[in-house]
Amino acid sequence: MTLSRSEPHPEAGPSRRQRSPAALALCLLLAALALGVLALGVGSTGFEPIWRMWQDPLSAQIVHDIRAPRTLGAFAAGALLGLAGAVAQGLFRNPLADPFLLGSASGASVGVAAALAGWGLSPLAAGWALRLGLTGAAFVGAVLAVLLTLVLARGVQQTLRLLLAGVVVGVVLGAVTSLITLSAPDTLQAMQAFMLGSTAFVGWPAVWLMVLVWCGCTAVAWALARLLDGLVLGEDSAASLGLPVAPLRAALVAVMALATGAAVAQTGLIAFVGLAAPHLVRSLVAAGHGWLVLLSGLMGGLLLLVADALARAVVSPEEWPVGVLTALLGGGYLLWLMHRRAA
Amino acid sequence: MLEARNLSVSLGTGRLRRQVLCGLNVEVSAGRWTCVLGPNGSGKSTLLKTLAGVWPAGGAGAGAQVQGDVLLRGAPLYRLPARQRAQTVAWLAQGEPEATANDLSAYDVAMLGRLPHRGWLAAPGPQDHAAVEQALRRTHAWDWRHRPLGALSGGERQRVLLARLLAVQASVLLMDEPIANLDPPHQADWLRLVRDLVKQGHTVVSVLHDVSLALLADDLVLLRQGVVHHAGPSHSEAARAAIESVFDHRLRLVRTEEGGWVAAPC
Repeated sequence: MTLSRSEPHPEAGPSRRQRSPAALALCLLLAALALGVLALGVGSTGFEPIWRMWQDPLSAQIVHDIRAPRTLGAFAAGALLGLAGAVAQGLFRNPLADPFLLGSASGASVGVAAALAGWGLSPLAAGWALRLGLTGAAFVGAVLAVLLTLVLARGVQQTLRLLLAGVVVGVVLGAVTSLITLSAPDTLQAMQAFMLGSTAFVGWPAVWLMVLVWCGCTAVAWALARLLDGLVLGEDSAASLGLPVAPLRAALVAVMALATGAAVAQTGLIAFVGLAAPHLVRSLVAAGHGWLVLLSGLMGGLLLLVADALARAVVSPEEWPVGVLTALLGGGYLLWLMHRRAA
Repeated sequence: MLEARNLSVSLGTGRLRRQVLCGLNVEVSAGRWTCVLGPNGSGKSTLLKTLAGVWPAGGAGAGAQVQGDVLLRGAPLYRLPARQRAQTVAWLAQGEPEATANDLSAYDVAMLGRLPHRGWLAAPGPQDHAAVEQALRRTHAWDWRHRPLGALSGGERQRVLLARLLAVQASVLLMDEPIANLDPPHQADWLRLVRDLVKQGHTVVSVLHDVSLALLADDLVLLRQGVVHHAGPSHSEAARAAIESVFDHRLRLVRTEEGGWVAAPC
C-alpha cells in the first residue's frame, strides 16, 4: 500500500470532525447572551422596563429582581442538567441515560413533599423562608436518594446494578411522595408546581449557588473526562489502560448527584434537558468527553433559556411551567431522533 | 516474562459464583507467540484477563475473586502502579465494543491506546499521533481513520481495536479472539503482524478458536476446566496428541502436503 499523498493534519476530515469544539462553545455562549437579553424583555410589561431602567426605580426593580435572576437561573439550571446528562451518558455508557437516573429526582420530590406536609405550609405563602426551606429539602432529598441507590447497588462497580437500583429507588420514593401528598391534600397544588418545574421563583442567591456548582462540577468533570473516554470500550478495557475505574467513577457519580440536586432544588423537575443537550452537542461536533461536558452544559443552559422565554411568551401575560415546555420539545426531539435513526 | 502461579479465579456472586480457574500454573516465554486453546468455558478469556491485570488488586471488584500470583518479570503484577502495568501489558477484549463507541472515529479509538502514556490533563503529543498513525497503518485502517466506529463492518472494527492495542506499544500483547471477525486475507495479515511483533521482541499471547491457526504459534497452552492440560512448543507430537484429547477426540489433526497440520472436526 503506497500512500504518497502527504497529510497536513492527522485530524483533518469530514464536516462533523472539522468543527472546532471551542468555536461551538463560543457560538453557544453568544446565542445564550443574545437570548438572555431578549428574555429580559419578556414579561407583562414587555421591553419597556429595560429602556426605562436607569430613570425609573420600579422598572429597575422589575429587571434586576425578577427578570434577570430568573433568566440567569434558567441558564444555570439548564447548564447543570446538561452537564449531569453528559456525565450520566458517559458513565453508564448509554445514550439514553438521564441525570435523574440515580433516583435524585424522586428523592427531591420526597424532600419537597415532606417539607410541605410537615411544616403545614400553604403554597400561597411563598415567602423567602419557604423558598429556602424547600430548596434545602429538595437538595437533601436528592443527595440521600443517590446515596440510597449507591448502598442498594453495593457501590458503583457495576453499571447494571446501579441502573436497577436507581429504578427501584425512583419507583419506591415516587410512591412515598404520592402517599405524603395524599395524606396532606392542601400541598397538592404546590407539589404539582414542583413536579412540572418552574424558574419563576429563582432569586439571586439561588443563581449564584447554581453558577458556582456548575463551574465546580465542570472543572472536576473536565479533569476526569479521560475515564469517560476510556469507558467507551468497556470497564475492563478502561482498567487495562491503567485508569483507576472505581474511584474515578465514584467521583463522577458525586458530580452528577451534586449538579442534579442543585438544579432540581431550585427549579423542580425539568424533564429532557439533561437527555437532549448531550445528544444535540454530539450531533454538532465530534469531541472527547472533556469538551462534551462543557458543551452539554452550555447547550442545556441555552435550551432552558429558550424554553423559559417561550413559556413566558406564548400565553403572556400568563405563563406555563417551563417543565411542560421542555417535556414537549424534548419528547418531540427524541421522536425525531428515533425516526431518523430508524430511517 | 509473564507467569501465573497457583492461580484461582472465581466469578459471579452468591449462587451464581463459579470457579473458573483452579490453581493454574503457566509461564509465558518472552519474545514468543503463545496461543491459548481449549473447549468453551475452559477459562481462556479469564486467564487472559487475569494476566492483563484487569481485575482490581485484591480481586474483590465486580464479583471476581483472584487468588495466587501473577508475576511480570518475576515481580507481582498486581502490585505495580496501574499506569506502569498498562504501559507494559496491553489487552484486547473479546467481541464487539458497546454502542457508545459508535460515535468515535477510528482515529479516536486508536488514540485511547495512548492513555497510559499521557499526562493527566495533557493533550496528545506528536509521539502519540505518530504511534496511532503507525498502529492504524499496520492494521490497514489508516485510510478510513475518520469514519465513526458505528459505520464500519465487524472486520473493520476489529482492525481498529487491534490498532488501539498496538498504539499502547506494550512489550506484552494479550489478544482475546483477535481474528474472530476477520476474513482469510486479513487473518493472514494478522498472522504476519504477530510474527513481526515477535521478531521485534514483543511477547504475544492470543486466544484462538481456529486450531489450525493456533498450531502456527510458537507455544501452546491447552486449558481444560480451569487447569492447564498441556503446555509447551506447538511443533511436537505430544502437543498434537494433547490437542486431540483436550477436545475429547472430536477433532483430528491431519498432515498437509507442505508439512503443516490442519484440524478437522470428526
